[in-house]
Amino acid sequence: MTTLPAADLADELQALVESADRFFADHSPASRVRDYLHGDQAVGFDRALWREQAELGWTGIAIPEALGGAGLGIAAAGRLIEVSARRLVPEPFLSTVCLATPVLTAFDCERAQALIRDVAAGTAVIAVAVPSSSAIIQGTLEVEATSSGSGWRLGGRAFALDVPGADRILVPVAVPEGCRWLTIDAPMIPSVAARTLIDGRRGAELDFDGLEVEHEAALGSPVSVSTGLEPILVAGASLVSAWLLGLAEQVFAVTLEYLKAREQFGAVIGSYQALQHRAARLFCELAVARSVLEEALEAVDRGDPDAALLASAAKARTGELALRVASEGIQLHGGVGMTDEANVGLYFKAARVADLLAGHHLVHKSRAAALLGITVEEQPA
Amino acid sequence: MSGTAVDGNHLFNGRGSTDPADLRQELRAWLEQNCPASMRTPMPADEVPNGGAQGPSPSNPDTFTWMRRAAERGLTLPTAPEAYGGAGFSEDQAAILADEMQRINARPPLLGSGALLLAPMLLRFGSEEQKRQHLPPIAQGEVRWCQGFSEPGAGSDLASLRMRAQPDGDEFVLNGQKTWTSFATVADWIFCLARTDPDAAVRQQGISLFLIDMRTPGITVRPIRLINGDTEFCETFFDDVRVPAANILGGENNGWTVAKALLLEERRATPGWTLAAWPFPLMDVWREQVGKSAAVAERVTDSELNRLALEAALRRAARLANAGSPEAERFVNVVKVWFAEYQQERGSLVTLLREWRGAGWAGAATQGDLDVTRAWLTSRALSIAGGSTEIQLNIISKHFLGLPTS
Repeated sequence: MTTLPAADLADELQALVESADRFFADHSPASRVRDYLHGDQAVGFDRALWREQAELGWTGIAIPEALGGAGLGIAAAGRLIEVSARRLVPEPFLSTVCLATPVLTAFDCERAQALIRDVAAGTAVIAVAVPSSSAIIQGTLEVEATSSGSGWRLGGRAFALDVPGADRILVPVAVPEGCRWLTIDAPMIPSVAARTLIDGRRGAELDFDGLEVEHEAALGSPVSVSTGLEPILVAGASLVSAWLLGLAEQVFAVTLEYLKAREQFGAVIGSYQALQHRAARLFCELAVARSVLEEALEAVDRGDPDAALLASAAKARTGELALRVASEGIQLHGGVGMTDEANVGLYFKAARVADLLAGHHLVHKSRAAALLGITVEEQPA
Repeated sequence: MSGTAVDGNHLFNGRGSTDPADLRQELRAWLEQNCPASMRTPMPADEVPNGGAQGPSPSNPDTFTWMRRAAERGLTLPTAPEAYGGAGFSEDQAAILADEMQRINARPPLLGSGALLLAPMLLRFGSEEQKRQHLPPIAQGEVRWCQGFSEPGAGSDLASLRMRAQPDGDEFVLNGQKTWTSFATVADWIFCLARTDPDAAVRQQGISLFLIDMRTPGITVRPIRLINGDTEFCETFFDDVRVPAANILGGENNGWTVAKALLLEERRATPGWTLAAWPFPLMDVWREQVGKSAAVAERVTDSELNRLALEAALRRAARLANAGSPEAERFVNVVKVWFAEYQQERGSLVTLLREWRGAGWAGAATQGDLDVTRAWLTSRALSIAGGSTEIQLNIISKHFLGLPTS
């Protein structure tokens, strides 16, 4: 970790966030999302832009300096993720920075470290085949491995964001000892049902059935399923929450501008108290959500025992709130909000996709309940 | 005065030191020695240290011991200068004190409108004479203040207040009625808004804030009974009450400015010290449930997640305030709205789950049960008093979101 004094670190981070904001404003207008949504590009992001963003140090923001990153930690990564969410940047920050990086940094094996260096350098896009939310609730994995010769034979299917496009896939698989994380070259895995998602990103169901992989594909040693998923459900969920909050604040700002511009009954509609109070309530909720998010990210950086609870508290809140702010945004825009031309709808759809990552908000509410000791007994028949 | 602390001296050695650790160490040792054990427990409603001579005595004598010891060192008004009974602490030093008190769960040694609301206004707007007259008795807990702002026709729309103050020589003659004057029956003094210029072009500009001795002839107080059984709120009638012109705080016709600052202080001060004062033991109640349903579990989880969020928001509010961030001010309104709804929801859930134990009013019921139920009933006032939730939302939309007035 870097040893700069706190004030210098804060200045460095502020400068980085501001330059990222300018970069996204110049290079990534919301219309890019519309191009990918309506276009038939195989890949839903721009590889050249991704490399440029890596050169600016953004893909490695949370990666230790020894491995080629900026070593600024998860809270700093959260700030950057918020800024990219404001512009709905299509480059694979969600998969590679929010999900893959926490998984890879949880291992200190050479294989993981080589991949981390590639992420920092912008030479690898890594997608993560995270179990579905209902599998997370059940505590099961969707892909399993059985020993076969010098390696494993896999079975099962799992969904991954940014496929096609990713170079490598990280997947947690069930083994007799619990869980192993495997890293597999993306072209080796047949994808079925590749699709354009509602927010213009690409994603696919990956078919692992009958796939043979070497033992070297595994990272670290076997762990329990819950330990194996922890990087996703704690650091990953916190970073996705940062994306959701950045997105929610931006769609709120867009809606506020509309309230100040649109006139009906001879006045701007933002002068009507019924609408003012709806906006003010969202403002309150966004401010409270930011408080939780900041505490969650800081707890992850400190390795605080409360990090899991705070991360789930953050995801449970921001996952629900982002979609609700965007829904209110559409309503307050009236008919215009339903049009493809208005940006508010892009945020609405992006809010749903981001909520699906790393366990949706209801999964995290259940996790929080369990961590708080609020569990329901079996119901009598 | 030298920088040496001796018994009976206000000074803390570490106050003048460049190293805040010195002050922290000294405060920690002093608190350990002087804060009675019973003052390090959650505070029941009948032990609130409001000060004043007329009130019902807090039932625990340690309340007075703690108040007196803290006052001797200026710690009841830590940021007020020593000359006025304070400790002369900077904001940073006061934060260290708050920190150290929190460390041992020390109760505030003194609460009430005098210390929390009026004292900061006296420091900011008061004349030298007013500060010398009023601050030391507040710091010592000798004088209890009440607030005369609302009127029957001026609640949320406070600027429409009608109480009249007519000049007569070097006095003003006050006539009118105030309502929601909490603890007026036991207060020694009242700070009170009255209209000194009925012809002002803008109605906010014709108002002054008067400091009035409650023993002045012509003042009549009548308690109002509330849904929670409390009678602390009163109606206060003014009938030809003569007040010296020198008792106006912040200048004639400048009362609105002082009142706005005071209401902001009220919003800022309220959640902090009441968070511990709301006895809603939700997790205990959940554990006591014989059967645990999914619908109840979800409400309990929501409330716990809201508690986590509110605590995070309160910590963030304190951080922003300490850093002097402009965001701090808008956060006060956010926290007020949230705090009220959180407590109302939690109180409602706890009393519901306690079933008949949660619905007792008097008679065969334990004091603990009654306290929880009364607190739930009281919680309905949290979204009304100190600027209703609707007023908070108006302030947020106009001042922070920049939405225009219709």
